[in-house]
Amino acid sequence: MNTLQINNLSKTYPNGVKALNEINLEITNGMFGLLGANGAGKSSLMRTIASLQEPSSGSISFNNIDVVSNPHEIRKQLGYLPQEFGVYPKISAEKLLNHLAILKGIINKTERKEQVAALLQQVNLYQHRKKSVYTFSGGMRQRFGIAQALLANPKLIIVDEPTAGLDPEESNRFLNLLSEIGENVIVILSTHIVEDVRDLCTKMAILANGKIITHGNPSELVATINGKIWSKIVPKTAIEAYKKAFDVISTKLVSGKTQIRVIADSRPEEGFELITPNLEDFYFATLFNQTNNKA
Amino acid sequence: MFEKLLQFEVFYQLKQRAFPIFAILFLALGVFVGRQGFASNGVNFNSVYQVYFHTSIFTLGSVFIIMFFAISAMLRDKQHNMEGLVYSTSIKKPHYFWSRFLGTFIFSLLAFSPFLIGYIFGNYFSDLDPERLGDFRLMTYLQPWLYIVLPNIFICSTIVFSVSTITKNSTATYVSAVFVYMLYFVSSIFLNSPLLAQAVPASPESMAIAAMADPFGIAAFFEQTQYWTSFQKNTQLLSFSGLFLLNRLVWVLVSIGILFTTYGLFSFRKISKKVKKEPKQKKENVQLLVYKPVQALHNFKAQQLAFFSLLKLEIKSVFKSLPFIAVLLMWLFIVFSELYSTVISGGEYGVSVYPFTNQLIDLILAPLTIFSLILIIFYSSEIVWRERSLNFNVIVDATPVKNWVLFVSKFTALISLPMILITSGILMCIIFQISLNYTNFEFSLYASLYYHYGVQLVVYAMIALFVSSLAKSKYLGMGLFGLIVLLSLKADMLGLEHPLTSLGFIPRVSYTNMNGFYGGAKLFNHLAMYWLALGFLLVLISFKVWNRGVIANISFKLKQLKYGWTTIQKATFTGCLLLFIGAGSLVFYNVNIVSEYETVNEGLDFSENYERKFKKYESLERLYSTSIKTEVAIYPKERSYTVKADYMLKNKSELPMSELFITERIPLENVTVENARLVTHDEIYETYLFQFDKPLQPNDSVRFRYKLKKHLKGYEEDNSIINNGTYINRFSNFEPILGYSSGLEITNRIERKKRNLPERVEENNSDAHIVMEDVKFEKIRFETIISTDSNQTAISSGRLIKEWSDNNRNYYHYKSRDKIMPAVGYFSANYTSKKVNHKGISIEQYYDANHNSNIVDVENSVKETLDYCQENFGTYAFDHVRIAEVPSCWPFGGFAHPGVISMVEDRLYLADVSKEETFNLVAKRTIHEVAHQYWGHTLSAKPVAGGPLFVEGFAKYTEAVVMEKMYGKRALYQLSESARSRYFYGRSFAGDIEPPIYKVLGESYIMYGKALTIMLALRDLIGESQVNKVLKTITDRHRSINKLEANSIELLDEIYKVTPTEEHRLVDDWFKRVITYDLGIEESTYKELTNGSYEVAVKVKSKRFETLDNGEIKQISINEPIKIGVFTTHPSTVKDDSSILHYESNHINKEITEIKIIVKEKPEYISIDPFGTRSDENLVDNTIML
Repeated sequence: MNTLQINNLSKTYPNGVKALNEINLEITNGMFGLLGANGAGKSSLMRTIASLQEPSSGSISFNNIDVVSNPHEIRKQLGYLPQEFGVYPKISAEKLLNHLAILKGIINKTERKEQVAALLQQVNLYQHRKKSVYTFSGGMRQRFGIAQALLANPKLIIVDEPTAGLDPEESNRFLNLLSEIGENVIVILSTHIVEDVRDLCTKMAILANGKIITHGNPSELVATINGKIWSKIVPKTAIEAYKKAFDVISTKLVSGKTQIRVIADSRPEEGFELITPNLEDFYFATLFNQTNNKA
Repeated sequence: MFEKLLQFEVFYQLKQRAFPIFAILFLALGVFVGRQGFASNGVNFNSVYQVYFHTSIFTLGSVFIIMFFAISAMLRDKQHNMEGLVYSTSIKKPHYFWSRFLGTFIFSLLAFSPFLIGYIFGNYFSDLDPERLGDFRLMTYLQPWLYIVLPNIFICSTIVFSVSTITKNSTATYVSAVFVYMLYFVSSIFLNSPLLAQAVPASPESMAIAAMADPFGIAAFFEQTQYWTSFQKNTQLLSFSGLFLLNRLVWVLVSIGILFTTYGLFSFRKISKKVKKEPKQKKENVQLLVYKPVQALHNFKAQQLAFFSLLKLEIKSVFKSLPFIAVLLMWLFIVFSELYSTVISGGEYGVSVYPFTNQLIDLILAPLTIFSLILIIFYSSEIVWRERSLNFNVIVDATPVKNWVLFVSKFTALISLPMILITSGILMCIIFQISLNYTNFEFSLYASLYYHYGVQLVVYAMIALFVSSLAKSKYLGMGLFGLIVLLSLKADMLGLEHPLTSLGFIPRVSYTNMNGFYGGAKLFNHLAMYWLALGFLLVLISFKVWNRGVIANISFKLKQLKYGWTTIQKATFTGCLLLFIGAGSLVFYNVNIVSEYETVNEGLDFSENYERKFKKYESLERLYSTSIKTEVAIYPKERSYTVKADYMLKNKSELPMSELFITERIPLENVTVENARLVTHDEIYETYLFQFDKPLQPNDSVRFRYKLKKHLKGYEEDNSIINNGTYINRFSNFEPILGYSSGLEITNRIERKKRNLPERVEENNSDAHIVMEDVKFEKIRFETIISTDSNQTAISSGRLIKEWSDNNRNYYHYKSRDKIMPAVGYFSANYTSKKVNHKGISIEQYYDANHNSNIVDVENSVKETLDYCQENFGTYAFDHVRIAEVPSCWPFGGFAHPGVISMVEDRLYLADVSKEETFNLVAKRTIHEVAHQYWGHTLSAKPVAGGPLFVEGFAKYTEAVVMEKMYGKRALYQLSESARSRYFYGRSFAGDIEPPIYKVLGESYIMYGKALTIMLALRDLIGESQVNKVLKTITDRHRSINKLEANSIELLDEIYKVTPTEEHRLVDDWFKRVITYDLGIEESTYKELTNGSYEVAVKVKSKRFETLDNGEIKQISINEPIKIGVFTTHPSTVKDDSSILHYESNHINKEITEIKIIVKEKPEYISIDPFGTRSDENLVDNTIML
């Protein structure tokens, strides 16, 4: 069993932005979902765990080894897919992957070749292996990123928005692969796509403004708002009025009509229907509470 | 619409911070250059020539601002992703295109022009010598702006703008800018542009090609002004004509053509990338592999593998990048052309050298450092920042590769860049050697390049790495390092000339085939340690602050530097620090303590104080030696020699002498003067003052004895005492000076003024002075016993009386038969010798065993010269001619001591004259030095104005007549062509107004150049036998007189005696005035006559100019016989009379003369003055093909 322990982790950037604020988490084998809006601090947290930046304070340890003072130790166990990355021009996917496999420490040539080929097949790039990654489309490049993150034998896999830019089919393939691998290792999946977390993760946390505002098992978390989420179709012009009158956690278009969801212990008004909440509702409700508590 | 667009363009470019920055930069540059006071002697700092010179060279720099403006004009839409928006508006193509072009052009022009304004300020607000600043004339600055700045910026803008418009790619634009720039340098190197100091002046033909090919017009400017005298440089504006006009016109037209072509090609559509054909993927039935984790290892082997994988990637990406390819190609091209022009097409007089490894290496070294530094500057930050700028660091930095592996792979990639240049240069040399069937490759010599030249570059690379890893951004690092390189190469300007303070000043270790490595080898080794230690310290620090992932700020890096030192790191750091301090101290000890370290200023202080303290002794009468006996013991291995000397000194004045003042050259161990006592000995200024017990009466003599030991300490180097090829000569004389030495005084006028020293008195050159000046210096008796190591032979002047070995040393006793000029040399080397007896004269050659290719040529030339001279000028003064080889570190072709000649290895022994058609440089040099046994040693002229005519002028004349006898008129053509260009080139750089030849004193361009032309003209006028008769008469008259009395007035008298009275006027014109000619064939046709002969009609142009005393050049009338020749081959290839159809003097007295000549055979060439008997700037138009 692998354990990643994060204690009081904070990161303040030189320009004063507090990207991470006293984060405490303990993550063990399995898929861990990290939800948060753009700019919530997901990537900062991922980078810090991946030893690509130093925290301002706090500690991270992986299997009881301090990551901050011993970044080399975690790199031996790490598979990391950054949110954005570039590649060298004029070098083929196969060669680049082979190069990275060497850097990861696969010194046996046959093993290396086999794993590189397997990964290229796995991410559906095998027929493009002779092409330069530099010329790949966004989705293909993303798949290449996934392949490199799985090189060698990672015990901790960090994937930052892995499904961004992937078509649904590729996305599914990848998530299946991840969940398969995730049985024996820690996989941290950062995303703002709530369904992915719902479908895959046994544990999750929601990050907002650099803070963990809640964490736990997705279904258990959703259960906490059972019977409190109400929905109604309203005209577009009335939205502002509703927002003032009720705790509207989300508005969205359903077949061209505006549906609002409200959190309330009892039916807020005629026309509202009680619905079975999903993870998305929980996410919005949490964010809503967060904002309102602040205010 | 167009105005609006242009307005916006102006607005946009003005808002760019770069515009004011560039403008201020060029203004500052102008001030800096303007006040530098760099101009050759006699040329005003603000002369038109200087303004042109500097402006045209600095327009080369405008390429980079143009590049910037072009990118911001043409590529900004693309860079900011505005293309789609802009192109879909209703802008018309012409409006868009021309507004952007004008924006680029105008702003480049505006940014560069402040250079000239700065230049004016620099000229007038500085401490330049006001005597060398002419009056302010606007045209001086306006004309260069109009003819150079405006067109150059237009031409460059057009090219760079077009590339940027067509490719829409900033790298391509950058490369095109570099390319234009490099093109100039390559063409100037290849075509021998005078901007780069070349040993060989460019031929008129290649000059013309260069003048047309150079888009900046610099070569054309030089072509027009190459022979301008100082007077012309100061007063004349450039004439907008000839090649200069043509160059400007052609390039502007070409540019306009390029611009319109670009306009035609330009389209409003986005450039869509060519869709590359996908490599065909075979439908392969691959076995489906299942992903399973693979155990990774993190041992040393893994790191090693990672290192090589990273290195391969780094090097590959450098190799595939355009700037690298461009620099490498340029480098190979330059190496190729350097090698080709020297070993195949021929250097001086068209003669190649044998491809000895050291000769080839010398050729490729000059551009090596600069090319390597360009690569290091560009790629250091490129390599350090590669992953970051691609945003691939987020992946690589998260892999378990150790820091040192990442770091060292980058470092290795960086230092491999100069290594690639060195290696490719070496390969090129080897290819040349193989193609010339030369197989003695001397690989160890090649390998030494990596050390002697590589170390400096590696240290630069280390500094670059250090700077790049500290800098906050890629370009900041590049700029900072570039600045450091510049400062280190110009460290002397900052007063950091000490070898410990400037990497750019690392000494170069020289090598000669005869002597091996010499010159600074020890200093180099120690400095190499010193700089490498510093480099490793910097590298270690860079490694410590190396951080992965997100770039950290300085404070974090400093924290990183403080903590986490492993034992190995600590040990390495301490080791490097100790080595740095140790080697530094060693260098300091040897440079500053063992030898006296003297800065330029300290040297000047010394001279000033010497002058102040001892000038009073200048008026003291001197004693002159009448006999010299020396014992010279040479210890080549210990780099030392000792001298025991015994002189007889005579009072040749009319008054008794009571004091003797001595300035020593090498510290004397012991010095005594008979009947005199030492009054004062100044140890700082190394002077002695003796007082005679009773005054020394006129014509009385005293004995003068001294002992000295020359020993090289520390890093001292002296070419005169080396392992193999010791040569103690007049340049390294040990003899104390028997008086005050005005040679030690400061000569620079401004420096003298600054130090409140009185102005130096000019020498008196009147005719009366030439005749009356009483020179007391005379020929002496000479005797020496010279000893050396057992494997070497020692040589000096005089007959060899005795030769013996004792105590493992060889001894030679030489004694002069008659009195000789005291200019003796002492030689010692491991010589092979060849001796023959030629009509009672022993011809002895001493040379390095490997250098035997030209020995037969030398011997034959000596015989021919002796025969000719004995027949025409009288008996030879010695019973031997000894020719000894000296290493190529000596900067002359050869030197004649009495009866002994030194010849320099590469200029004589390594010259390749094996082909029949090459000019026989070996013969030329040999004849020249043997001739000096007459002209200098038998006939010794009075060392006053006109004297050098007897020494060098007559030697050049002898050289020409003997060469003509041996090789035909083609040799004459080569010699007179080279004399002509030496004269015109030399006079254009002469500070003082040119004296007429009978008053030549120090002007080498007259004695080696014009003297030959005039002697040949005289020969045509009165005939060879008459000229020789004059020389013989004078020689016979002075042969047995010890005093040096022959002078040019006497020579002219003898010439008048054998010249018809009506031609005396012409003799005076040539010898007593400064006359130049412009001769040429205007047009010529021929027709066959009925009797089978041919009639040639020719129109010749002939103008004459006189340079007046004030330097002004004025056309004067012409009235003299000039030779016209008709040939079946070009005059430069005439071997014997069979190819000469007609060669007669014609009386010319008009600017244009029409002549008809009948010849028997079909004529091919017609020429006026084909063999250069008149000083004519352009010899090419003298001959035309019919």
